[in-house]
Amino acid sequence: MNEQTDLVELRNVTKKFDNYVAIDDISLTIRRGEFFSLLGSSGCGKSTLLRLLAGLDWPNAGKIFVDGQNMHGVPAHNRPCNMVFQSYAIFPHLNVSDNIAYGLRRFGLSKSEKRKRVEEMLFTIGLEGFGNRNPDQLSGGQAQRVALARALVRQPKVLLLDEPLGALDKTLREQMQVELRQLQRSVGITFVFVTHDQEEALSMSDRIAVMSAGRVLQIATPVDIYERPNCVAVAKFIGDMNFLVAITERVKTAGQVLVNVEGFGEIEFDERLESDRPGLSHHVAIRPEKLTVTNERTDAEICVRGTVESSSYWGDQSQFQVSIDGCETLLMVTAHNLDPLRSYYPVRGSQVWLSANNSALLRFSDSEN
Amino acid sequence: MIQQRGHVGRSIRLMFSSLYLLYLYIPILILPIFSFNDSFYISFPLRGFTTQWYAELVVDTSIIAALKSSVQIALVTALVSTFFGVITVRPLTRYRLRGERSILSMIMLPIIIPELILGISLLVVVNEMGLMLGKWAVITGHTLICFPFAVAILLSRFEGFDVSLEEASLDLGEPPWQTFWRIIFPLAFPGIVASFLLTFTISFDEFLIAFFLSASEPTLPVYLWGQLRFPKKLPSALALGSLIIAVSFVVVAFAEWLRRRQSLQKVNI
Repeated sequence: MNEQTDLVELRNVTKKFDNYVAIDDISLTIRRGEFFSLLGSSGCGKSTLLRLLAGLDWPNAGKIFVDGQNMHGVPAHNRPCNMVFQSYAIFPHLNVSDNIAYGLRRFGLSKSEKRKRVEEMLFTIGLEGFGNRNPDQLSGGQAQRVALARALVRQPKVLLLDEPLGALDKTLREQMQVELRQLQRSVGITFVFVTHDQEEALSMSDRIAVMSAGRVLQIATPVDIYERPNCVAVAKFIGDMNFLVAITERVKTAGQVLVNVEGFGEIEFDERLESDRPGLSHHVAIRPEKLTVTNERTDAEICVRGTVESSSYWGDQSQFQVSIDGCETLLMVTAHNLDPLRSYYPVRGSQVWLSANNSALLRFSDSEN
Repeated sequence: MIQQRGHVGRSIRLMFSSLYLLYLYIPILILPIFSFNDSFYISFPLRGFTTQWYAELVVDTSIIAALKSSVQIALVTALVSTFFGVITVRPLTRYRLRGERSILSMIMLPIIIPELILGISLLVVVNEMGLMLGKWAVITGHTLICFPFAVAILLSRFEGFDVSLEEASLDLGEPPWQTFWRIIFPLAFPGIVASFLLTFTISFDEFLIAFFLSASEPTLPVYLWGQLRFPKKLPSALALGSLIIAVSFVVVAFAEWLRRRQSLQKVNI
């Protein structure tokens, strides 16, 4: 019950730096106990949004509420949020324990209580016995954990994480992704996680806000973001996508739409776009893995002939560029390599059939490149 | 042939560096040598070993008084110029200020103004304003010339400062003032000590401004200059000079140790 209530609310928040608009009239809500990701390429405003929540920057307009409390005029040191910095910002003149205990000073705890909390935190992050180490004796992953512990020990209502895994190597990053997600579940604190890594966002988040140029494009669960992107920009940013030019031919009274898709021919869609009218030029998109390559015709809803222009073998899967008649763009197709030694494996120049279901096609009315 | 040439090159280098080191240190070594020489006159051959001049030094009240005012002036000058250095450098490095470069150039300008000119103009100002000559006047003048050095040293320390450390402290519930004491001050401490030691040394050595402004409270350099007229006082001055060199050596070694420790920390982070 409690889990569905809103903890953080942004209302029409705008932040400008001189004439540059970093955050452009954003409104969104973050739920209690949620792992919420802000995803976007660099300069999209995601880190600025985090700093506004932390109180390290102030919005030019709009309101921020945390747990019902208006954050207007509340300085960083009085906010119920704590941040894990991208650079970790471990205090170099304090040892690990003192770093973790740093934010406990104003809690009015006795020395032994404080030490107990620090020990518990060290246990939680798997760094027992590291309390006396100096920051320069820590590896990147350990420093990252200390930064996490230092923020979590204050039991904030919201934990803000600014690309915390960006500086780690790939193996460690994947390990920390799992650990971070488990940690979030066990402590039950709301995480707001900033990342430019779409896989990271997809695998860790309850919900994702995709940002671009200071605006939020879409807020949804990872599955919805991937399967039902609401605009071309999100579809392009998350995963790979084939875009085909399409023209609306007829809007039926029952609601179905007949669309001529480049290379695929006439296809009937059950749902219509708001702006649908005969002659509307728009885009139809399909993910590379939703196309199947075979050497024979199939009885799928869509099945077209094509020629393999290039193929790359990636071990677990392969990627093919396929040209089809009546379509200028090459279609990208990925396939799992279940048994490439014995079953059919297309090579450059192979004549193949591409199959897909109508439901795999997405329609976008916006022409955003 | 090549080997031989290398050999010759090495000898030349060795000779050159030995001569250079002699040139640097012989005048300085003269001081302690003659401070133990049993003669009023500073000339070879040495007469014999004595600690008489050191003994005289301890009971010479006017030289002790001059030393005392020099130390007092240098201490206050170092404290004041380092303090103002910190509160100047902090906003300069923390915030993007309009005209930051011009502000810095203005601060650094006194370094290139000859001290003779500064001394004379300060004398005029102090007299015209009806202020007293003496220690406080010298402190004012010394702070003027030390402040740019303090700023230069502190700037290099504060400039590399990671803003996120400060933000992390604010984020962890410490208000700005506490953040300054718990994070910025300890991290900047080696730079503050370095600034203090340098400004102390500059003030302690300074002659021209002190000469114009010290009046009846001469600093050590002014006092020693006045004593050069009396040959009998010279050996004591040498003894004092030797002591000052010894103390300076210890202080500089300490500062260097601090600096190294700090740069080691920097490398490891």
